Amino acid sequence: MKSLILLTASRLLFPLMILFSVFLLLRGHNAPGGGFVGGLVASAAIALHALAHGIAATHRVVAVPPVALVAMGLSCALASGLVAWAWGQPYLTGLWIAVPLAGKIGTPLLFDLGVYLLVVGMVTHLLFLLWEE
Amino acid sequence: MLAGAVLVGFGLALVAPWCIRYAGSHWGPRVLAVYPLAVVFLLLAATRWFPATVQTAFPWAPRFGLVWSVLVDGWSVLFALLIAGMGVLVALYAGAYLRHHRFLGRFYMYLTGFTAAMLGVVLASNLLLLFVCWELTSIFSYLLIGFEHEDAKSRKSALQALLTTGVGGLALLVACILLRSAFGTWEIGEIVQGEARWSSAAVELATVLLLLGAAFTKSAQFPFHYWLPAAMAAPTPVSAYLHSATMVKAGVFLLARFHPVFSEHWLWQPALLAFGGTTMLAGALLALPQRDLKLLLAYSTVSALGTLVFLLGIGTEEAAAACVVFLVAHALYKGGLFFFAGIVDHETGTRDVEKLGGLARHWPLLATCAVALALSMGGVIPLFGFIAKELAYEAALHGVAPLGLALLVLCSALQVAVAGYVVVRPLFFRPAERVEVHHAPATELSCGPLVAALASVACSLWPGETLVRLLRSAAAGVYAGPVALELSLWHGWNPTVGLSVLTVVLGALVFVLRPLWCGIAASAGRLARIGPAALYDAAMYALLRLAEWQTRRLQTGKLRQYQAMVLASAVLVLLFATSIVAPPRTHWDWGMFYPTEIAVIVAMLAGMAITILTVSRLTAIAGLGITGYGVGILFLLFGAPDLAMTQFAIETLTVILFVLVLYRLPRFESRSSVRTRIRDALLASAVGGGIAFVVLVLLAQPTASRLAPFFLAQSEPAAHGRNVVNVILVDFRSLDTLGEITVLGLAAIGVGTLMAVRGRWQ
Repeated sequence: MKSLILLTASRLLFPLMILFSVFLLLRGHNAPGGGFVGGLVASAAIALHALAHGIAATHRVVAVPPVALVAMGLSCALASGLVAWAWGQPYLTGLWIAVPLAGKIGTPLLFDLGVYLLVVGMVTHLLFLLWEE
Repeated sequence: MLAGAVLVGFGLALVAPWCIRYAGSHWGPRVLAVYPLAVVFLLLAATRWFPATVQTAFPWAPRFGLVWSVLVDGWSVLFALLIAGMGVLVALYAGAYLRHHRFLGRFYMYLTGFTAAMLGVVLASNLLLLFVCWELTSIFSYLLIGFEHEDAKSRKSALQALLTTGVGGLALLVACILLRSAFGTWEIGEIVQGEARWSSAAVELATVLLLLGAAFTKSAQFPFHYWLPAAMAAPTPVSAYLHSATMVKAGVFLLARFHPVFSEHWLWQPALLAFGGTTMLAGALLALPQRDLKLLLAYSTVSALGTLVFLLGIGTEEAAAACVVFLVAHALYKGGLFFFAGIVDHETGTRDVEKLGGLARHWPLLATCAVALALSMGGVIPLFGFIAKELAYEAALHGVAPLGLALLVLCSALQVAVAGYVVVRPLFFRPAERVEVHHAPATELSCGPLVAALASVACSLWPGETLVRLLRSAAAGVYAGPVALELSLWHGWNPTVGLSVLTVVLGALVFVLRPLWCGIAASAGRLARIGPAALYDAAMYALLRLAEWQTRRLQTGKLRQYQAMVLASAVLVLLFATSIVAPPRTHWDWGMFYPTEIAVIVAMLAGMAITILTVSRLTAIAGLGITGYGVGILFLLFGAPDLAMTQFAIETLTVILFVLVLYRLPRFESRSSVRTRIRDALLASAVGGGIAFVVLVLLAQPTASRLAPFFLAQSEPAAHGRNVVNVILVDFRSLDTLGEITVLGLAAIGVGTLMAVRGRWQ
């Protein structure tokens, strides 16, 4: 079901959507957005890619097994909580440091990144499974 | 020190497999035997701290009153010495017995853990710690009994033991809580000396019953005795350990521990006498017709446990002394005889007494030890068992009705016969058929019976100051007062000596008449169908049937029924909960709807209508999509951009995933009947209407939540974020989010597994 319009559009849209998803992830702390929505948008981009190019091409683009993304996401979220432990704070306490140019960076961002990766991994996993069955 | 020793045991259990792997099956067990040996020395050193001290290692969970502390007094040290001492022998013995077993490392993990848990039970000063260790012994014994897990019988026995003692464990937990509420402390030492304030006599009675239940299940008292002989499925070293000094004695330990607290209670002593007496007799009678060496010993253990409980029930100073001495004597001879049975099994390949014979020629030293142990079991001078039995007779003579004394004498006579049967027949009788003796037992194997026999002799001939002091202070702990305990072999001619002679004569008579009893027992075997073991089986069977029935009912395998059940019960629960917490009032005002909102709602309704009425799946999905996007727009109208974005993204992805699934499905061919459709429509309306009603009611309640203002105020200063929704998700409530994403990840893996399974079926 290759369609020229979809193919051309996805070539343009795929990188834009991925960028947008990262943008959503990063700005989520102060404005609408966040890891969950970001992850969903990235998943939508992947789904679009799969629709346009076929699942085999998408496999090459995603490169890692989706379940690994799920595991990575969960590990990120868990690890973000451990940082606080190392500083003698209760588990999952948000810690922040000021970084020149970037503003403040904190463990909640790492946590949100975990959510992002997990959502992407989960949806992609389902997508691949359903597609290939 | 001792508190730490228990902890070290648990740590050691974790590394035991590596110890076996790197030190080898030859040296590994010896290395691990150092642990109980070290504990033995520590305990011997601890006798200096008598009468009693409490040592606190660290507060484990202080808010619950759970403190890792040990109570060092005569009773606990005596018990711990038995556990650690037998632990050394068992660790060495098992190394030789199971040398070529492929799971030797695992075995030592369980064994070391079990030793540590058992030490924890007897040393614990904190009731909760006692409970934790008590349950750990159940779990470790489950693992040990089911060690040969490829054998179905072994698994069944392990489960039986776990369930029986596990129920007792729950009883113990409740008893502990009741004790805490009556005495205001978790510390056993304070409870024993403290003043009780029972809120009512019923509560006290409940505590007594629960404690008795816990102890009777653990100590295999009638009618819970069935798990113990079944536990013979364990490797012999485990049987030796469980039945001589540890697991089954834990119940006796518990009873004795709380004996001073409840000895005045009207139920306590009669119950101990009745159950102890019954168990003592039943165990001995059941032991006699057995042919399997281990079963003979197992049933005689049941009988001995009954004797211990019976002696506690007498409750006099003499009885306390007899109980303590009998405990030690039994641990020594029973452990030793199990070791002996294991050697016979290991070297000849059979445990059937009828087939064995003439082994004394092959193993003269071992035969001597076994005879000594059997004499101790029979209570013959000059073994330690003799002193124990003399003390027991003395106590029964002065403390209980003649009937009790007669019962004790009868059971002792039966034990004599069993002892003779276990030892005399395999060693000295002419074998029924030729017995192959493969090779001489390894040194570590012989070591067990040898040490046990030597100890049985030494304790009676040269008791020594330390032993007497230890036994005295242990008995004092049980009796709650000083006990004049003397270990002397000969008191001159007195009634108890006469009884002893009578016992041996009677025992010999029973030994000769055994075939007669076997015949009776065989014809009475039909009774087993209504015995406790059969009841247990029936209960398990009924439970499984019930599970099967409800599974068939609930797990129909039809997605639609699952969904209907989940939705219906969710709505019912919600309505019920709402009716409890909130009065049913709603604010309803047609003026609160804006035209835009109404337009969106109309569009959503149209989407729903399309979904329901269409005959094409694709159109149905599109209709659902319209409804979903409508929800997103509503979110947007109400000022929740985060929610709206998420909703849009989810809707998009859902449509894509749906389409992927639809691609593979056939066209709508058979549509459900009108009846099902009406039913589904009713259910759907009920769910939708119910949820709407709940929401309306809850929104009409006056809210006094401080959470929302707090989140709004603290989002920026405390969490450095202006998007409160996101700040709640990743900071204030991040633990919740962590749980949610874990579920998401598991769901993804679960779906993958389901698809894989389906693929295999096709």
